[in-house]
Amino acid sequence: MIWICPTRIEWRSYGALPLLRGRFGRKRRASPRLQSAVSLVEVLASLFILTLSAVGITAAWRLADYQELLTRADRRAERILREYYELQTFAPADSRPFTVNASASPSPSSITGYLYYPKLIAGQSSSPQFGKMIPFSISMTNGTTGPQLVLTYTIPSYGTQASRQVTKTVVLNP
Amino acid sequence: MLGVFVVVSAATGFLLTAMQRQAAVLQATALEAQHEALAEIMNDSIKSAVDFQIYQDAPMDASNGALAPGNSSGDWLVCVNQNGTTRFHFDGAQIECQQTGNGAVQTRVFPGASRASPNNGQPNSDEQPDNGQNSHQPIFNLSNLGIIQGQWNVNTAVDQVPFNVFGVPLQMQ
Repeated sequence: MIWICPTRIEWRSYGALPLLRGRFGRKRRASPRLQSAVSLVEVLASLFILTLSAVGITAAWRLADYQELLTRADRRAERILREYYELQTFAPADSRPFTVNASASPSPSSITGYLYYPKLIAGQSSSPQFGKMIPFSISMTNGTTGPQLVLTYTIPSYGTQASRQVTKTVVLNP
Repeated sequence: MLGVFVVVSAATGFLLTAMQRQAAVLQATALEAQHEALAEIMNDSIKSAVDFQIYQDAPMDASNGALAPGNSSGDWLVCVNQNGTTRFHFDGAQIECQQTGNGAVQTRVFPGASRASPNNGQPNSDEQPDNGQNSHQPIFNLSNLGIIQGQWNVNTAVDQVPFNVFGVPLQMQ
């Protein structure tokens, strides 16, 4: 912060207050007015840098969190799709989550749930509380290559990016 | 000097908090990956099983190699396949996986598990978070049609992850 000061400052080796050297090299004590002005500039500059740092770090933090959330949601969606694929493929007909009726059109009902259950701040005691985020739904549709499972989930918005839907599909074995 | 000290201290505080949060997220991701591996092992063991049983209490080792009759639900799952025997056990806080084959015993422990809520992951129902009201529902159960289901929750530092493993043994497919 010394570069902000209009005059050169020397620090005494035995004291906390600086000496100011003027144009003619005269040594004199800094006036209380100048000292307070320097302090104010220091404080304002410090606050400015502090605010910039806080904004920068928080933005980077939020971005990292968001990217991490997207990665985890993607992996969970794939895992859930794999689970239902196994169930739909190998389970006995009566236990399958989706049934195909006589007219060869798949059942319209879909399975819904959430991909992310964040721990709520209010519930960080012995019995944690969890919220629900990123809804998903699985349904069976008739694709061009046959029946397929379609999982759709909505990822939350971030900054100027609006929330958008992500769709994952797996073709069932005939 | 005071200003520099304040700025450096605050920035360090912010950085430390961000790093702490990031460490918690990484820890949660690692724990989820561990349980994902467990779900894979469980799924493979169930699908390739030539014999299996679910027990409510610790199973006795049968002398003739056959598994003793079990229950329709419980916290123990034993699967026998061509490579050996795989035994899963939930003790209330962690799931232990013990694989025995060719005389070698390998045990892995997966911490951070808890019981799932009764309707968690059931087909045609919303998956609900277990808000600290853990039931005493066993984590393994067998439906009348031969589907073995394992369901549990993993409580990480940042969230709760439900796991569901549906498997139909080879002989029932």
